[in-house]
Amino acid sequence: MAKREAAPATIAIAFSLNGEARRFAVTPQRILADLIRKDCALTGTKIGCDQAVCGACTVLVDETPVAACATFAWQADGKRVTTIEGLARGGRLDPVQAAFKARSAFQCGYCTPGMILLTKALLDAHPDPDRATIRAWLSANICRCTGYAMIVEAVEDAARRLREAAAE
Amino acid sequence: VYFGSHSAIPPFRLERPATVAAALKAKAAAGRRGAYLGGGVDLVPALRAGTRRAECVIALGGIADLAKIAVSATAIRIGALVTYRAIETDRRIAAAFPELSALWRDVANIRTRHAATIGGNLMARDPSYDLAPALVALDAFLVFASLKAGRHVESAFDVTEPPPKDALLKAVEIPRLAGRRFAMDRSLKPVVSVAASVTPRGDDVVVRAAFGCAFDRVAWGVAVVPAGATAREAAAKIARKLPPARGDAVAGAAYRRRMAETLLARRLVALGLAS
Repeated sequence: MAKREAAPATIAIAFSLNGEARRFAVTPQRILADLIRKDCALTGTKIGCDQAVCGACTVLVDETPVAACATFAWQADGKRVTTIEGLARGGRLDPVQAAFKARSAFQCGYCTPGMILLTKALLDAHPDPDRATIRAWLSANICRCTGYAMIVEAVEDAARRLREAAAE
Repeated sequence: VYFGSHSAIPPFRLERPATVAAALKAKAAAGRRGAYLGGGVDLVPALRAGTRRAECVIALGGIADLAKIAVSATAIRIGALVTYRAIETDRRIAAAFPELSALWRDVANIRTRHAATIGGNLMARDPSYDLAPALVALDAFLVFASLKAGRHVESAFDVTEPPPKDALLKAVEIPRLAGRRFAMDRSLKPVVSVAASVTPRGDDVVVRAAFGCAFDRVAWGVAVVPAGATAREAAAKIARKLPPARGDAVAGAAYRRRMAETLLARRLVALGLAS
């Protein structure tokens, strides 16, 4: 039988947010980006177009890049959600973050959290991507400042750092 | 301080059925105020923009049946909840229809491909979307489920037919025909897109073609031509029967009509017809 909730009742959901088990009561229409930004005060997840186009709101749900602005919070129930705040460990930047910093792959920085999380997913799927693959993946996220050249270099740098770390 | 989305989605009741029959019952109870949710790529922005209204959202993600892919010697059946990413990466689909898999790597972007489902693509009934023309060219049909005496029954419909009322798209079935080749040209979107297949039949060749973007709905045609016919002849034979094209700020109707025929002829050359 279908589970039925009458509006405006809330739904109890639980998911891992940046490795921490969290529980929430959300209305059906609650958007994941709003839950992350308002209820969790994790404002690294940006809202740009609000239509799942620009990629600024990209988070990882079970390691898959997702537009948090077009995802209902209850769709994350039982899953692992990673935001930009969840990447650094023990005060050390994630290799992808470090590569973006080293290559100055940002200007205003608004798209950067989404770019970095998309890059994490890209390098999970393709540890040694060629430029065509990098460009194809990055086409999901829009940057209006950099012209992308330094972002592409940062992705290559991040891939190199991750491969070297894996070889150690 | 502004923290949230630019516009709110109106409240709705959520249904999360575990079976196709439960989904159909929920939709029957909600009527026109109910909306099925697959990947949400179209529905969520539409709810936010107010172009769709729903008092009840029926989330299909818990229905495992809808995400199945089944391959037989004669056909491949792809569940409505199968994502674009699966079309691109699933080995069974790639083995049966390598051209479709390869094509899908260029449809939308990687984030959308992870979320978007073939059911959402088809039920949006947007003539600029790519799946319907591709499926028409491949002679596929849609399998809808509807309620009969409390149980769900399946019926097959053409891709271009209007969906039956309150029915749920369950799967797409694509026949596997010996020697059939498929190609699609999306290079002139949003002016026109062209999908075509060529199937040998005795001394003839069966050409099926479907067109996106250029018409109010997906337009299509079939031509049986001698094996030695040129691509231009086959394209002209199909183009003659097309309905009037759309004219708008993107392109005029005559240009769209002309480019539909031109792109089709080019694809047919790529599929082995004489130039």
